Amino acid sequence: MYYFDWTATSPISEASLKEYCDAASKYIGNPSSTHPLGLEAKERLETERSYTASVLGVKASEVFFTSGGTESDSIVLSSLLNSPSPGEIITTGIEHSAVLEWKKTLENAGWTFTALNCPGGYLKPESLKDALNDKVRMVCFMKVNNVTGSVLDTVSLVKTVREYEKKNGRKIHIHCDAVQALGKIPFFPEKEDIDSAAFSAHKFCGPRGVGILYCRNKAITSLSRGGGQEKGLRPGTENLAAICAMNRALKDSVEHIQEKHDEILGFRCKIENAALDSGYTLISPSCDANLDFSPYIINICCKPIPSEVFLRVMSDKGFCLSAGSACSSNSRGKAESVLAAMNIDHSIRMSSIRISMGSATNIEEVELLCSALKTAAGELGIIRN
Amino acid sequence: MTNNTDNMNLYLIRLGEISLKGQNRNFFEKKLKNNIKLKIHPHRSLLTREKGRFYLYVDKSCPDETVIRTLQTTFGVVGFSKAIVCNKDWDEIVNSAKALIENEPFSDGKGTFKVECRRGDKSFFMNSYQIESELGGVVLDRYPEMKVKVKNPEKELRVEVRDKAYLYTSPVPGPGGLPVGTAGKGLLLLSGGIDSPVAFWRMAKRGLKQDCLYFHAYPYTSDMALQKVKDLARIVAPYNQGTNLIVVNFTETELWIKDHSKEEEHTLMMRACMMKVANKIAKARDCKVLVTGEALGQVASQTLESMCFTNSMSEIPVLRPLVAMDKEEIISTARQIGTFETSILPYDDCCVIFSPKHPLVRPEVEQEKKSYNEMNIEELLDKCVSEAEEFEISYHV
Repeated sequence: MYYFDWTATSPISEASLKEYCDAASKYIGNPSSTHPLGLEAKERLETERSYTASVLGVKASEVFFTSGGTESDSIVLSSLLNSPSPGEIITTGIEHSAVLEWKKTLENAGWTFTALNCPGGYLKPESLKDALNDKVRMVCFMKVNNVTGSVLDTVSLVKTVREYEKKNGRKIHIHCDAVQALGKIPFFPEKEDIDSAAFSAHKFCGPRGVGILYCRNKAITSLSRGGGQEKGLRPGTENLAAICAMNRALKDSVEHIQEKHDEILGFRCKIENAALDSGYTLISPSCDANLDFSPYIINICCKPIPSEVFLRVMSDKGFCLSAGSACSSNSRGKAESVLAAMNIDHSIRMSSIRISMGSATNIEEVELLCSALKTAAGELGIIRN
Repeated sequence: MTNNTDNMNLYLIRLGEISLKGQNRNFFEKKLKNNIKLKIHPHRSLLTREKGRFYLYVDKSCPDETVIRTLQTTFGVVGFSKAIVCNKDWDEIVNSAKALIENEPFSDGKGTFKVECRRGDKSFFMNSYQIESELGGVVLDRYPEMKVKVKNPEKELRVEVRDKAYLYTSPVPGPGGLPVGTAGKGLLLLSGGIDSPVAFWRMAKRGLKQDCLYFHAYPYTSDMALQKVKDLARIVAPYNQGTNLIVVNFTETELWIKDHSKEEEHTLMMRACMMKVANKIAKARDCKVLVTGEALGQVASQTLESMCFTNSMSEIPVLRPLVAMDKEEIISTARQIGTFETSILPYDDCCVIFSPKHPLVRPEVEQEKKSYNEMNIEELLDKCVSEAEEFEISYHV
């Protein structure tokens, strides 16, 4: 099978896996124990924390190890429930479910949950500015959209919030879901004046079940209770081996971030051109447009064939892709609502296909994919919108 | 096989409609006996008929649950109760009564009851009235909330003192209907939806043995949709004493229809092709009728006009047991027979690209027949039939 679903998850790298095994057998103590084996584990844990912090350009004391992106987002959003008086959270309609699924819970607790539309996958600073009001306590947006690869202009968005803050005099917490950014495009939360950010190891060839929360706001408190690990934000015995393995994968990703980016951009343009030539429509931003996007993700439309059918055809040809939506009438795909929040037409959403790449994607696979897209278009009668 | 009933459990089975049959009664009863024995096999069972009831003896090695599920899924059984046979010893009779009332329908410990005794053996030292009042006391000791009611009680405990003592409770309802196979054989058009498994069940209830036919259009429909159909067939198969699922690959046919007919006629043409294929398969398998889950007016292809057209494409009768049922009524039966949860799994049995936006709702039969003939599709349909796959679905509950 040719794997083009790296956005869903990436295979763990050999180096990361080796690091995991080494650390798991070497550090047998619990970092909270006071005997030498515990102290040894604690020391390694703090070394890893400093490394993560250096990659993110933040203070080590503001790095927390979690079980992944979903938990990192959840810690920040759930902390709103600890607030004595509910206010408003502004986010986007194109967020991952780790954020959007908080809508009901927060609304039940009296919060106003506003999800702004992002035409084409981008949130305009003006739209955010219009939505800000004196009830807003938190603004939450993603760095890279996981369905189309659009990259939000977080610098301008943060600036918009901070200007409003100055005028209004009330602090607003800014959270950024950067799960699809880390290791693929440069992202430094503190430099961007972001208060908290979520990351996940298995998106950059680290192990599953481990992630990072950057958080500099001490008012964020967890709903979980336990032994006080990670300053109480994420109690529970630290997954040291996985943290070491994550940092190993992180190191390998950031070391070659630019070369990889350029190589993948070449593949991305190749796929875009092949798709357009074969009659597909582009849903992601085009390589030719003056827009910021992650080359690792490209979303195309195989109209009039429903995504689900197209995936089966491609899977029979040996390619693992992902649907932008679910075609079955009685189940609504999550990505479908994300595309709806981008103001994308229903008939296009129903035929949306996500192709995503990663560090091990090579030109041979890309060429095979391009020719398979062409064959499939001929077989299925893909028609340009 | 020996007729010795030691080490066997006894169940009394009530027969409804079939005990009213005249000269054909033997035929119906024999079918029902065979249907029950087949499902209980390989456990040894023995069936005798007495006073309008069946006495079913089953080896004690067979779990109660298997017998209960068998009787609950065998049409012709109106009600049943487990009986205990013991020696004509008072202590044994009391212990048997105590054991029986631990089960349904007494086990909830509520409502009204009576004990009814028939003393065939007049030499037994207690008379019927004494037995009834003593055993009534046993029930009240166990369930103090229950009340005695002689006329129309909710529950009954019955005792017959004959060669031995027989104790049993008022029957648990069975599915009723006629034994499957007594009405001949039909072919059901099974989709993955809510209706067709209910149609299957209703026809099986009137004694029709059925095979099932599914039209698969991979990759336009997923293998999960096929799996769902197999699962549905498995759920209803015991009611039908097992079934055969015939899967026809319909992809080429659907694409042909899409390319060779007007968009608004796609669904009608597809139904017409299904009827043609079903007729060919029914003929080869000696099925006398087709069965569908259509209900009048439910969707465009189920209007009176559309049904007239689909009928015109079938040489054998098309039975539609749900034709006059509301969706709610159909759903309620689907829940009762356990198919609903599977039917609503989100794997569609037809892809949107073959469903016209504005289908014809009032087609004109002659016009549509002409459209059908113009498609020139017969050869493709013959290919569908010859390449059909068959799966045997077990009668086991």
